[in-house]
Amino acid sequence: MVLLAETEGGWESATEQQRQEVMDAHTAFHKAVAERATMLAGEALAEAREARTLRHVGGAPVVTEGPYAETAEQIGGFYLVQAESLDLVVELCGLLPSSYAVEVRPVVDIEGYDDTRDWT
Amino acid sequence: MTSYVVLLPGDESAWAATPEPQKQEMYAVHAEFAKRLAERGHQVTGGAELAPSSQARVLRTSANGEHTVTQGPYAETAEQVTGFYVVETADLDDLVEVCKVLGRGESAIEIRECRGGGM
Repeated sequence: MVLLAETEGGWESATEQQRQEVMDAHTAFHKAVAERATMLAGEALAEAREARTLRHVGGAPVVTEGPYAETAEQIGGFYLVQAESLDLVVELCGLLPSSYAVEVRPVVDIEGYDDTRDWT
Repeated sequence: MTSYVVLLPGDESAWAATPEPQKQEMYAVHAEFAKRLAERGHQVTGGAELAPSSQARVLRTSANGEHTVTQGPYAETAEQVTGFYVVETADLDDLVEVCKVLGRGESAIEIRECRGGGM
């Protein structure tokens, strides 16, 4: 799992040229993953302020606007990559836009609960 | 139909200390979540449970293009993302409603729209 964290508003304030550089970096990443690993999924997310967060307070569900944590960097997207090692994924992530903090983490295989692998 | 990511932030140390029978109960809650989504016309297109954030590596790139890799998550928050779903639906409000099932164990659930584009 590759979490892409970035400063909120970074994309909105980016110039056309900066956006193109970001897109090119993603394209380079896709290409490298296709050659050396397998891309299972990936999504770009709406800005964190558009999120809704659900918490149970005293047993009752409460829905608020905004992300679960008010951090300077928010998750802006993710990839799910199947690869032979974490090191390889970290190496490939070097191609992603330099404005991101890229968090790479293994996923857990849950016995008897394998529908999580059914990506298309 | 629109895709949404359902992020599951939680207290990792609490989960690590949870005995196996209770973990099974939590997985049963997730199974019920999946069942209700299917019944109400929402389609799960992906998801995974993540390893603890202590096992994460974070890659940052400086202005001159130098990479640094560190152990641990990108932000030292009390809650860390422990898993996620991607759900395709035409009814966000009902998706939020079904997510209440996960409240039996998940401390917080963040629901956010997926955007197409560069991914």
